[in-house]
Amino acid sequence: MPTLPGSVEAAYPNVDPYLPLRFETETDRRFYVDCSSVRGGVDEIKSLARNIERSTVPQYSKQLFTGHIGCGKTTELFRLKQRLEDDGYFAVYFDVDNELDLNDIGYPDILLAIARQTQQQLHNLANVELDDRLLEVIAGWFGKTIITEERSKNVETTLKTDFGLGVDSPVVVFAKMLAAFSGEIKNSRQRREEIRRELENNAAELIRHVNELIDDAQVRLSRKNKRGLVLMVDGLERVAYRVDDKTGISSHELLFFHQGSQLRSPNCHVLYTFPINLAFNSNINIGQVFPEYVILPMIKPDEAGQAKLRQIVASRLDVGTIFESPDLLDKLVTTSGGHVRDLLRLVRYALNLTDTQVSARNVEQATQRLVNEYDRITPDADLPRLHEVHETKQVPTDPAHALLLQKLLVLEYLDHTRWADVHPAVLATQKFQRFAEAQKKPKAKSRPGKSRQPKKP
Amino acid sequence: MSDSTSTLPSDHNTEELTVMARMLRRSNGQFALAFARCNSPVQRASLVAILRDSLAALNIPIAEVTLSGPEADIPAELAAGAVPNPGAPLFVYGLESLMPSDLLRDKPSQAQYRALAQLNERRGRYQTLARPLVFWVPEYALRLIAEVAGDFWAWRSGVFEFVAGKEAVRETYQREMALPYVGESNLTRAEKEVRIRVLTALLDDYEGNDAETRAARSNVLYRLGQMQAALGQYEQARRLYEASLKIDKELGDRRGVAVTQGSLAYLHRLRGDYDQAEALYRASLKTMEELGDRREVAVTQGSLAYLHRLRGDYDQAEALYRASLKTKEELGDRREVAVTLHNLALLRVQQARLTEALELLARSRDLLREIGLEKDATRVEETIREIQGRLSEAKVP
Repeated sequence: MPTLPGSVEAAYPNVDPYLPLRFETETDRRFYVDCSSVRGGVDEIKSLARNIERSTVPQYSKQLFTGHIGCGKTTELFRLKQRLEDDGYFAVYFDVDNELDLNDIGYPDILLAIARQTQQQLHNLANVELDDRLLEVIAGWFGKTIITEERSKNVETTLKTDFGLGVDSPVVVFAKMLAAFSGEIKNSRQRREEIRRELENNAAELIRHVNELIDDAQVRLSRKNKRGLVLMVDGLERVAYRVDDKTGISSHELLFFHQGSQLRSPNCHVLYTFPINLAFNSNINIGQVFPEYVILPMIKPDEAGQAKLRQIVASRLDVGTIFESPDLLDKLVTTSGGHVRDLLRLVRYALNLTDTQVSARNVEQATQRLVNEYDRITPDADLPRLHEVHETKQVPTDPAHALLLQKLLVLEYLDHTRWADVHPAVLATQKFQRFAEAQKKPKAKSRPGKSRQPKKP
Repeated sequence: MSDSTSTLPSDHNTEELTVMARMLRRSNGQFALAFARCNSPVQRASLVAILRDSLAALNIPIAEVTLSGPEADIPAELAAGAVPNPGAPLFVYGLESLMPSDLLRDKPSQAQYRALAQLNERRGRYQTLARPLVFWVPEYALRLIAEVAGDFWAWRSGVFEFVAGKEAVRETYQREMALPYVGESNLTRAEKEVRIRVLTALLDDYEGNDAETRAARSNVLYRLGQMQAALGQYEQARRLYEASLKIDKELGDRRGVAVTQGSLAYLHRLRGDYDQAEALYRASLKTMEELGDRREVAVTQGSLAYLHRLRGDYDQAEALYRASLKTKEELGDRREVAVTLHNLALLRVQQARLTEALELLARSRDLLREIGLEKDATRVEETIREIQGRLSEAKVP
């Protein structure tokens, strides 16, 4: 086992708050700490994997997965991918950020991206080529459907000159064409709407063609002794939130609920990440469309959880030499509230404050930096809500509190039941402390025997 | 350019620079995202100069890009700015120019959302630049990013807060306040927007609770209101004036209250809300009379007169113009006299007393010529000719 970095310089790259672990390297595997026991005792990744492994063809699992920003979602997805691959599946993973425009996304874009990524990743990663004639037919269909008449008087010519239909090999034509469409979807609003309109008008055919491609992939994968195809679409939790003035339906509800059956349509296992607010939405019940959805809980900040958090740091650097005293790490662990990315950030801040060893003062300063950052995004108007959450350890299901969760001002944990608390960095802000102090005063003044007004009518 | 001594970083800033330089060095050409909070562009320039020198000693060049404005395609412009020196830190300026400074709203505006959505949703593209990115932003922009572009914010590897020395803040404040208020004609839209950004950043430097700080804050809010009004952003201007008014009232600054009421009245008049406008003008007038500020009294009478003219209440308008004119003449303010003569003339036109109107316009024109406002004089001259034309047409049977 390689030695852990013992200097701040060498340790620095190991605590990157934005890099998920991909389990492709030995380092990634070393850095990974299984936290399922302190995330509520359930290994959510195992459950997701089991749902895939136990569904019998032609029943495929259709699952949703989410978690709060920076809680380790993508790392866990990569772990799932690793596990599925070890189990003999072929997993097509992609982040829509690189493929689509999150500001404006519809199910046709996602299906198109699925077709493109499936063909590409089979070609690049598994040396599997799909049926030539099939690709030609599908490319031809996409071409004729999407290249509208205004754009080209002669679709046949465009197909031939722009994409080499009938000239190049079908694989090349297919790849070229889908790359071109996906570029247009990502970068041109007008073309995106045009393409989407055409595909929506031909939804049944679109789904049929995507499934022909997937069916062919499944057959070819089984010839290579693979257990089947799993689609993993990441990044969809960041789809822009917008409410349609006319219908009152949010972009999130539209995509995952109203168009959920289209998202479920591929003939293989699918897993999408989704915006966490849908799980706390009173307009719709996401479970009706996706009965299997999983929320990755935060690491509990109790003793066992803190031990895991220390382990996360200790797997990446030599705590004994980097910190003047190993217990200095405890303060950073406590301030993180069990939020992995904040923990790594705090460690990085502490490292940036020194050229030699992290001192008690450095830890203090690093903590203060994070506190200042949270102070900035804590509106005064939310102080009563935050105080209430801190007192009751419960977070109501409403839009105002959903926003607090989204901004990580409130962290949510699982301990058989859900409970929540205010982020420790918010608790440490002056404004919160002053507010909490002010709440105590009336209590002291209130005379015994006189009934007090309940907080809420 | 400002005196460099006033922008020297304090000890705190020196430490921040050290920490930032460490972070940039250790990023070692890998993607990292950092924010540097700095309210003054002048101060920013001196901080960047210091950083550039200390990084140059380590053989780390800095690439810089200034975003082109409200329509900027951020990833594309960063990619273009990041062409030289692979791996070198890229400093990004002007992100705030994509975010209208509508800071009195409870929620960010649509335009702000759009700019911030770009950051949030295309964050993968920043990663592909494979170098540390530092967004230099004023406080208000940083707050918006943290609140609205949560996914982008979540990637940060550092937030460096540079504080402005008191001297530097005061200097910016005094410079801004010394600039004469100019209406829509004298500044280009871009110039107005720059001033709005400077003023908005200044607001974050005046957040204390002492009377002096609050008075300065009120002045900045008022200036911002004027700028927004000049851009036609009347609703924003109204909110800014109201905020300024609130502070003036709390501070017992009667003059400030009266001035702001006058500006608010103007906005109500533009909306056609004449009753509200009149009430505010009257309140402003009363205070100015009590304070004995004859010039402001005369100006406000002129505004009220115009309001009455709009309502078709010519007698009231006449009386107010007369009173205003008398005071202005006594004060010897020839430009103001010329303005009132011109307005009185327009009232005469509305009353169809064209000969009298011509007489008044001629006096206005002559006065303007005397004080060298040739351009204005020419405009009055044009009006004279137009009315003469109408008179001769009328005489033709």
